[in-house]
Amino acid sequence: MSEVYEEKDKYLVYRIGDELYASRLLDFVEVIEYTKPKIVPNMSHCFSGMINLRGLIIGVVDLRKKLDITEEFSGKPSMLICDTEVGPIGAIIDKVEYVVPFLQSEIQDLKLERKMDKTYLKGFFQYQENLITVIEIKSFVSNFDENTHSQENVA
Amino acid sequence: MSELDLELVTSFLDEATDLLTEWERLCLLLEKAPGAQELNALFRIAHNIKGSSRAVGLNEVGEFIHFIEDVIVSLKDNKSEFNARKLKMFLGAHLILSDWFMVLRMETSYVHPYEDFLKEFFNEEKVFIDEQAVEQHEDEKGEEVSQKVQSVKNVLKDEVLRVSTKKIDGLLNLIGELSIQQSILENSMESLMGKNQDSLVISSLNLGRKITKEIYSTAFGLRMTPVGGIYQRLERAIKDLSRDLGKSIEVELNGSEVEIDKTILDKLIDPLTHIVRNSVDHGIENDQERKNANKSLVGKITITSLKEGDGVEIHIKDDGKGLNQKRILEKAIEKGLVKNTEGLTKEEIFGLIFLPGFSTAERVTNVSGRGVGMDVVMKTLEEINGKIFIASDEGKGTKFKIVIPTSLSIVDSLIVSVAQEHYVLPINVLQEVVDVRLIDLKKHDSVYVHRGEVLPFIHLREVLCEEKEFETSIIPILVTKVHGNRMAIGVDKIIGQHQSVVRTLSTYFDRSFAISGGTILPSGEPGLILNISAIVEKYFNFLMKKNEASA
Repeated sequence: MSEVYEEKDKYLVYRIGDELYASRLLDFVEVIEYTKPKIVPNMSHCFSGMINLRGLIIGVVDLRKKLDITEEFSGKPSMLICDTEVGPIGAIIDKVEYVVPFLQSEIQDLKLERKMDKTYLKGFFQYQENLITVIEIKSFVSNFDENTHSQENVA
Repeated sequence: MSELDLELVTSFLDEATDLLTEWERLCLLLEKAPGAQELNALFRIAHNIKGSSRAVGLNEVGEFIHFIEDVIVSLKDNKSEFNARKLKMFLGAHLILSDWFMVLRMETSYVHPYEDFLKEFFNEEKVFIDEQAVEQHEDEKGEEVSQKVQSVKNVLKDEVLRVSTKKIDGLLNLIGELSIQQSILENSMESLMGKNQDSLVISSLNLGRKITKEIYSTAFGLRMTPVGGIYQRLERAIKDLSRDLGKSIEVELNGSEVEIDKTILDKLIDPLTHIVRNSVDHGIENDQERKNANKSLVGKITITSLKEGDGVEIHIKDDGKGLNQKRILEKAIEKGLVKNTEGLTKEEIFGLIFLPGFSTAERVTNVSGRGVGMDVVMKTLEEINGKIFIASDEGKGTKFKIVIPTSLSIVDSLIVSVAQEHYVLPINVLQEVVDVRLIDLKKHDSVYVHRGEVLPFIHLREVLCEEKEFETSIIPILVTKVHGNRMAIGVDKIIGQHQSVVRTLSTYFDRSFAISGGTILPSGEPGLILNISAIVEKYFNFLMKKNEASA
C-alpha cells in the first residue's frame, strides 16, 4: 500500500437509517449537537427550520426526509454544518461514524442501482464489509426543493 | 476642477494604485530581462491610467503619463533600446504618480510638480534624452512637495483603513451574541443566587453589561459614514440636469457630517437622486415663469441632514412652484387611484403621488418620466424603514422630509406568537393594536371594520401555516399601513416589545416571501422578522377583490 492520502481524500462517514453515507470531510465546517430547529414558514418539506449557531442563523435540512427514509430513529440525531455556495446549512443525520481516506479512483461508479440523481450521488466504496454511498453534500443540501430521485427513474 | 466627482476620482485612484503596483513589478522584471511581453504590459498600464484619468477629469495626470507612454511606444516599436536610464525614468515616474495619487485622495485639484523630472529625462521638445543629464539638484520646491506628500501620508495613515463590511458584521455578530449571553446570565442570576445576592458579582455583571454596550456602539460606529459622501453626487445630478433644461439653480448643502449606516446610505442614492431631479424638472420653474412670479431667476435647492432622535432626517427643499393639489387630485381620479376625494387632507393628497401608476409630469420627459416614479422612491425607502413627508405651498416651493433610521441593524419591533411560534414585526409599519372579539370579526368575509373603515383582514396563521382556524375568542389585531394601503393582521398573542438586532439570512430563505430577516430572540432562539409589506402586497388586492365579489 503506497497511496498517499491528502486532506481532500478524507471522507466523513455517517449513518442515516440502515445505510452508510460518506461525503468529503472538507465540505463540513463542524459537527454539532442536535438542537431542535425553529419552524420557517413556506419552505419545502425537507427544510426543518433554522437554528442559532453562535449568533448566525442557519437553515437546517433533514437528510432523512430528503432521502425518503421512513424508519424511526430512536437515538439523538446529529447535525453536520456544511458551507455551501448559498451559505452555511445544517444537515440532520442519525449518527456520525468515522473518517476514512479514499482516493477518487477507488470510488466505484454506480451502474446497477440509480435511485438518486447523479449530480449528488458520486458512487460507492467498500470499507470494512460496508458499502458506503458517496454524496456530494454541498449541492445536495442546498437543493431542498428538488426531488431527490432522478427524473429518468420516475418515468 | 471643483466639480470633479469625488467618488469617481476615488475609484479611479483605487484602480490606478493597483496598476502602479503592477507597474513597479514590471519595472523590476524589465531590469532582469527586458522582454516584449513586459513592455506591452507596461504600455497597457500607462494607456489605461491615461485614459481613465482623463475620463474622471484629471487631465494633468493624463498629460504627464503621455510623455512616458511615448517612450514605451518607441521601445515597443524597436526604435530605441531599453537601458538603465529608461528604467530609472520609469521608476521615477512611478514615484511621482504614487505621491500624486496619494495627495489626490485628499485634494482632487492637486497637480504634482514634475518639471524636474521632465528636465532630467526629456529635452525641450519633450523627447526623451538617453544621455545622463548634468547634475541633479534638489531645490526648495522639491522639499516643499515632499513635505506635502509626507503630511498627506501621515493624515491618511490615521484616517483611512479599508475594512470589508463582512469583517465588521462578523464582529457585530459576535458582540450581539455576547450581549445575549449577558442577558441570559442576568436573567438567571436571581434563580441562581436567591436572596443572597453577592454584591461583587452584581457589580461586575453590571460593569460587564456596560462594557459590552460600549464595545457594541464603538463597533457599530465603524459602519457609519457621513452623508456628505452622496452630496456631491446629488449636486452633480442637479447641475447636470439644470444645464440640460436651461435653468440656473443654486445648491445649498447642510449637515454633510451627519453619519448614517453605509448600507442605508447606498440605498438612499437612487431615491434622493430621483427627488432632486424631480425638483429640478417639475419644481423649479423656467426663467420666464420665475420672472412672472417675481422670483429671483436663480432657483434654489437646499439639502439638509439632521440627527433627530434615533434617526436621521434629510430635507430636500426647492423654491419652485410647489405641488398643485387640484392637478394631483384630477390625475389620481383619472388613473383610478382614488374614488372618494372628499375630506382628504393636504398631506393625504400629496401622499397620492407615491402611489404606483401616478406621475404628475404631463409629458414624459427623459428626465423624471422614465417609468420609475415616486412609488419606487417610496418602496426603496420602505425597504430601509424610512418614511417620507411632503410639505408644499403653491408658488413657494416644496419640501420633502425623509426620515430614516441611522442603522438597519437594530429595529424596534413587536414580538407576537402565531401557532406557538414567536415572530418579530417591525413596529414602524404598525399603526395600532386592538383586541377584537371573534364574533365582531367578519372572519369569513376577510374583513375587519375598524372605526367605520373596512379593512381587509388576514390572520397570520393563514399566511404562515395555511391554517384557518384559531380557537381563542379574543384576538389581537394589528392595523398596518404599507404603500398607503391599510390592512388588519391577526395574531394569536402579543408577547412584547423588543429591540431586535437584525441578522441577514442566507439567500435560501428568500423563497419564503413573508420573511425579511432574522434575529436572535431574548430567549437565545432564532426568530424571523416578518416582511409586512410583502404580506400586505400579496393579500391586499386579493382580499379586496374577494370582498367586492361577495358584496
